[in-house]
Amino acid sequence: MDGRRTERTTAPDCGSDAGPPPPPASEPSAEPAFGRVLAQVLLVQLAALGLLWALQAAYHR
Amino acid sequence: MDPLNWIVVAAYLAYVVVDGLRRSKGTHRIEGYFLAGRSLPWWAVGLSVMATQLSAITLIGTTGQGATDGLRFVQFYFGLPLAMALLGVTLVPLLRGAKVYTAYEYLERRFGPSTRALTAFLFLVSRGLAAGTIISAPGVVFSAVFGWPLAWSVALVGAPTVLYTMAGGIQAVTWTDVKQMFLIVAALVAVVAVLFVQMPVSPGDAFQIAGATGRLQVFDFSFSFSEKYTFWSGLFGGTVLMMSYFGADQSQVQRYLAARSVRAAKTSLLMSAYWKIPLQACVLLLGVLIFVFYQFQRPPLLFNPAHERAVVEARADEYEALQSRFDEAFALRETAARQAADAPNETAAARALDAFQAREAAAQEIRGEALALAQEVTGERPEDVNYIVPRFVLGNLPVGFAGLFVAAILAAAMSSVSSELNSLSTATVVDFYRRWFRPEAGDAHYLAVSKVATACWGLFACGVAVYAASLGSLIEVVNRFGSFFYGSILGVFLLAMIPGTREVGAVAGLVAGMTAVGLVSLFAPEVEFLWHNVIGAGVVVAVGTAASGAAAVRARADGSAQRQGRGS
Repeated sequence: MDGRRTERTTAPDCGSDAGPPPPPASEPSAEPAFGRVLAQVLLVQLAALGLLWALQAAYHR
Repeated sequence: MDPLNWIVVAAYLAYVVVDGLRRSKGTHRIEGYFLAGRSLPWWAVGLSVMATQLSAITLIGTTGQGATDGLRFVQFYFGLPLAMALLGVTLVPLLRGAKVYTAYEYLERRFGPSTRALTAFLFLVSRGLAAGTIISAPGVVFSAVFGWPLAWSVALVGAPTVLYTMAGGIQAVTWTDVKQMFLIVAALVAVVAVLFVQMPVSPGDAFQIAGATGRLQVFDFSFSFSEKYTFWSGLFGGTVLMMSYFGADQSQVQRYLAARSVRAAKTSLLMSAYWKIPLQACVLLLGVLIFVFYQFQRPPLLFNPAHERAVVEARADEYEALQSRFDEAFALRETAARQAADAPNETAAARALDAFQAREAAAQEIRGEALALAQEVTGERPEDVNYIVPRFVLGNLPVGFAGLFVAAILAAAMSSVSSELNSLSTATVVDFYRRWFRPEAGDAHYLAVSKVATACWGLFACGVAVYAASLGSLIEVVNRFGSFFYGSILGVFLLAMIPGTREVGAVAGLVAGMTAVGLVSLFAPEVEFLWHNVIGAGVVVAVGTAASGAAAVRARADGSAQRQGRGS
């Protein structure tokens, strides 16, 4: 409870505090890269806004 | 409600409690209880954040808002993706790198104990009461719809949530959130599918009718401080509000502190940004479709059944007269809607939609009279908008689907409350109990205290929920009070990222920010609340930087005076 414990990098089973030992540093991460996810997020938002814009343009009186 | 629907609800409750309790196995250390050993995968954290945000108020109130006001509310979320991206490169790495349990713990390291204590206290007060209102909203609706005492409805939401949150900590909260999120989305999709099947007109005609009443207007580019939802208030005010919520509120921060890595924490935030606007648009669109559905099937004059019963008992003749006028207006409106849907060409459709608009205005006028009558009889604000979806679900969905939607409302409430309780317990134990009373105890002791704190906050939230109806004005005051400091707390975190700023600047800035928002609220009430967050954060950064600069100058002057004193 000192708040300074070394951060774990792998997931233990749900419901357990203790996880397996961390993988070697060279192991590729299962987590997607921030920049790539950010680009996807922006694309999805633009697509959603485009759809909403089209809905408004077509039907709003 | 049909027994089969109740079986669906009971099955959900039993599953969620058993699943939550199962997570308590192995949670023996405080880091596991509060942060899941910093081991959660990004997708689970992201879904959990989304489930927390999607409360029962969203399923009941936002859908109702879609039915009465249309899609414009979605503008409120336009700042969310930007806020998440900014947090991903600023506060998330900062807080993760500090290896803290709470966001406020970081403020002590950066500034000092006063800043931590003040911000953590503001969090406890606002979130403790907010947890009560989150339970209260579905509780009041369930009581009115099913005719139960309010305490039963509150217990239905509160008891299982407290049980699994207390036992399993953040593991239980996160993994039940994931499943609750799937249930909520499944229920929304099911209702939209049923609506399309039951709608007597084509989707294109349904949109024509909704568009004729202004309900498909999404974008409002007017720049006005007095308009609640515009593109600009959503983009600027919304960004600051979302940054405050996700960057400075422990109920959200704790989730990404529990992620297994910095990258997982950032990705989880982006994931919730990914779906927020499309999901919120779908929720509002569901309300719009229910509005169109009720153009062809006679809706109740008052959606709140408790108010309907009270008015029928107290002023039967008046209500009957209103009902018969409403029936006539509905028949005329339905005819106009069908003519608009069946129009052979665009000119005829435009003429029919004009006629429909006039009939719709006449029907709404009668509904307005009924709402005023209900307020007069009950002495309560009608809040009829919150009963549109429950009445639709219970009256029109096939057997099993209604139970699924009621279970989804419970899931939405429970997923939000569980996160609040877990974070309230964390801040109570870490920022106050361990910090000021028992700094040297072992994990077992802190774990026991954390469980007791969760139970106490759960009881407090249920108590607030039961009395929320009678405390109506007080809750409103608390919510306004909350909006005073939300932006200001974010301002303190922004200040922490500016080199050279000091605790005196943080405390002075926080007080100045809250005072500025209070003054704006008092003397310029036309300024809508989304702008309060921008004002609060801006004032904290400006005053905090100036006060820190002044303190640095004074410290340098004192230092050189002392050196001169020693030299002479």
